[in-house]
Amino acid sequence: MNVRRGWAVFVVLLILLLGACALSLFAGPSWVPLSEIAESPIVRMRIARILLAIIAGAGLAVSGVIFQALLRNPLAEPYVLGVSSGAGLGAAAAIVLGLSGSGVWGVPALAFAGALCTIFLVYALARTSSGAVPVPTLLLSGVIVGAVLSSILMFIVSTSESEKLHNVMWWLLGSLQALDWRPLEISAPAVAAGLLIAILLSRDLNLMTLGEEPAAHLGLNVEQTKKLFFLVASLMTGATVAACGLIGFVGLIVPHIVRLIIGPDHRRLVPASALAGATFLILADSFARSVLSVEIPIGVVTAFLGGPFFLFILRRRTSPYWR
Amino acid sequence: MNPTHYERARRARYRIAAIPVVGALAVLFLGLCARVAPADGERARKPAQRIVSLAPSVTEMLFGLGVGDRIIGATDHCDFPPEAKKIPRVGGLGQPNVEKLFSLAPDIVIATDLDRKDLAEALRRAGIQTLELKIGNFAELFDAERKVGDAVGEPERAARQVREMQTQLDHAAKLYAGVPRDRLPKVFVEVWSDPLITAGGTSFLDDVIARAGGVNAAHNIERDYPTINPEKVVEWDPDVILLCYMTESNNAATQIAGRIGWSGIKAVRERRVIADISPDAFLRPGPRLVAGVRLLAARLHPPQAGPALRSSAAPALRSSAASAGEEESAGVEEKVAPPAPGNQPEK
Amino acid sequence: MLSLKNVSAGYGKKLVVRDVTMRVPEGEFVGLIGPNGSGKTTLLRVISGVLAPSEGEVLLRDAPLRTIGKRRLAQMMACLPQELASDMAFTVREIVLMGRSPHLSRIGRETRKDSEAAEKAMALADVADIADRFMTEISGGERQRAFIAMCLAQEPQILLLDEPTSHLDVGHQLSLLDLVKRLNRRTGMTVVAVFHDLNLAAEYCDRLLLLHQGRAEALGSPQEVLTAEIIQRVYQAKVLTEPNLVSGKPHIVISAGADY
Repeated sequence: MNVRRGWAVFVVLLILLLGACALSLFAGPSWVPLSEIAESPIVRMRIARILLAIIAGAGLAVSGVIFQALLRNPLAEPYVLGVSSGAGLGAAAAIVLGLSGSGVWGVPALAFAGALCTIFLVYALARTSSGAVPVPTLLLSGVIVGAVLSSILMFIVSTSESEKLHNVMWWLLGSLQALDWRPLEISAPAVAAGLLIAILLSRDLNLMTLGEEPAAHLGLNVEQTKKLFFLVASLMTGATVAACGLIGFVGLIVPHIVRLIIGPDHRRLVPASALAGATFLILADSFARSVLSVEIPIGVVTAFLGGPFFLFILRRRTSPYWR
Repeated sequence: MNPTHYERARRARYRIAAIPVVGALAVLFLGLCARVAPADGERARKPAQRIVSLAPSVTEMLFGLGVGDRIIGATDHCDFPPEAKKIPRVGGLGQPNVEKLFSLAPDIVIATDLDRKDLAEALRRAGIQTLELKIGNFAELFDAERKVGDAVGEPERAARQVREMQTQLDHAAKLYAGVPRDRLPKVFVEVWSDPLITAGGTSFLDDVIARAGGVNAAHNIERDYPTINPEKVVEWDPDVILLCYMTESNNAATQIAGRIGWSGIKAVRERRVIADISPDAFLRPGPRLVAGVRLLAARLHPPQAGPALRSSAAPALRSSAASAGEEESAGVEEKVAPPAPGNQPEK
Repeated sequence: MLSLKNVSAGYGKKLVVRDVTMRVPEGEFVGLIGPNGSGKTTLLRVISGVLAPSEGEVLLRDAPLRTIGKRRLAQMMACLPQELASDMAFTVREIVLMGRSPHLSRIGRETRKDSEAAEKAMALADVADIADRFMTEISGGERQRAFIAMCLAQEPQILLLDEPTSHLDVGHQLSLLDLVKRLNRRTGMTVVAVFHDLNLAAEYCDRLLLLHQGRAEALGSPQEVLTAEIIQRVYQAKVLTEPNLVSGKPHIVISAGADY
């Protein structure tokens, strides 16, 4: 693709993102007149939500890009390696231990800890004696660990005497509510660091898509690169789940849509997906909180909006970018 | 030899004729089965002796009626009064262990929100009387109390309980008798914080708040426990915020004040955040709810002796399930949580 | 250039290659031949550094392979893999540019020098006219030439090929091997290639290493290695060897069995 077209896409994406932010500022149950914007507490609340949506959207989309490249599988997405189940279990533990509630770090912190433990568990199980982590084993390990943790979580929730645990189901459904800065504090550093690393090392992702041996022949330290990217993507996913619960579809669909438009070169795909993911989630959240008198769980909206849009793109463009 | 045309026609006729015969037999059979099981709504003549309770509120009601010793099965959550903990368990809320249930051979199963319709059917067919109660507000609570009283043969006691509960509610109502409708405090109930869940207009909590002399901020949302946008709370600008979960920190008001955009809310500015009343007092739709109403009413309508009294009233009213449990039995008794100092003594 | 000393290698406990010793001087075109399962591909993987030998060592320009950093190794050695994964739709140029990775720093961008190297490689591999086409849209033969261009963009001193012609038609087989031979002769690039087809190996290689059950059965010129007697012993096939009518190199003449 010639260079000029690449830049154009980025400019468009940036404009879309800013447009989405502006729209989101006005979306919501109450109308805030322009003159009051500077001081309105409601606008401050919306800004916090927009920031969280940007972080979560970018983190999930880039996570999806990384997993699809590492696992060389178009169905890969951020939750495929079980990180979400671990985070859910951590959240449930926080609630059981009585650490939930306003002003306490309990739920997000333990959810993140749960995610971290899951990453290490999945990785340790997939490792061979020589220290390599074969991709099919990693996938299997992730799916199994995810299923086991998920069933433990369901078991705890269904047999627990604490009525609070039923509320963990609500938490799991995902929400971009930002009552305070906690969710942002927990997710922003991980996502920002992850984005930076992914952008800087995106050429390595290109090499990985050729296959592990060809990539090795081109000078890439494949095992080290796999480990690094696996860690980065899992941390971003874990941080997002800890802050917002489970938000599906973004990590699966956004990379595909962006790839159809801009191509598989990860040096462009990664930043573009970050922008697109942020925009998508901002729009989805605006929808989720303004259409009904109650908040629709964000995962429902992302599926509802993302699925048909993806089908539309797939059918309209006979894109050369996907076989 | 191949069947002739007439043979085939004859066989076809037999087959067709067989259909109504089989159909009639089936109807007869089903009718017999139905006769065996008691029909819907038909009450057993004698009062039930072996009772299974599928809700904590029902268990409390039964103990209040003095028939706690007749309960042979209860849910995992039935923990009040303390004697209830000794009753064999049959499962979780609305999700009973069917085998256990049947093996206990109860006379009657009393439930609220029985999730599984097939279970209700199975119980009916097995000849076990099922009493399904709907408890969404106080009127329905009183009605349920009466129904339970009839089922266990204690109608007068049930009527007494209802009268007691009504009296308690009337006492609570006195606290705000003179207050005009539009001056009643607007209350925002926070059932959960992550995401923000409140009690809507169809929930029991809505009725509790109304009886306590408040107005539920979310009254117009026609759902039990909706997830809402925090912006709405800013919009509603409630006078009081009631937290229905225990928080770790002692200073609920400061925590809530730390929320983005909430510092301007009236309840936050005036530090009217109630976080020290046990959730059990509000979330169990049962006899103890009237105590919750009185507690809340006292907090919503403290005497006009001055702002100092509001915060000092809090520790005295720190009533948890523990102190309510010190009462002799479940249900409403003469002795409720002690009124706040400075409140008018009830007549 | 390349030196193998008593190399044994395998997967897990099983040894596929046993005690192979060989010296490949710079500029030579060496062919690895042998029956199925004789260890040809395994040996090539040891030479490329992907598989570590369980015994013995490999030296590249007198330096042990395991001491050469991965990037440095990729600057010296290129390997054309047997299977080509191609589900992502990169253009030919983008693929060829990936061959420049060993010469770029981890986070560096390509410069003019790299673009020129890529152009040169594409010209050599005869894919310059399809440089902007997508890998998913071109034929199998064109795809393979694109990957050859990628290897050439690495500017390697030694090129490894694993059965490069196994799924090509005769025309593409010859053009590919002619290309490699030309590069070998003109630039002095050393070539080590695994061959399935003995006649192709005989035509193009300076020397052949014949593997039999993991051991080096014969090492020498095609005339020395491809004798009827050796082939009978190793392949259990009765053939005639004749000089190739055109080039004079050994040519295996096959005929169907006598009694069937």
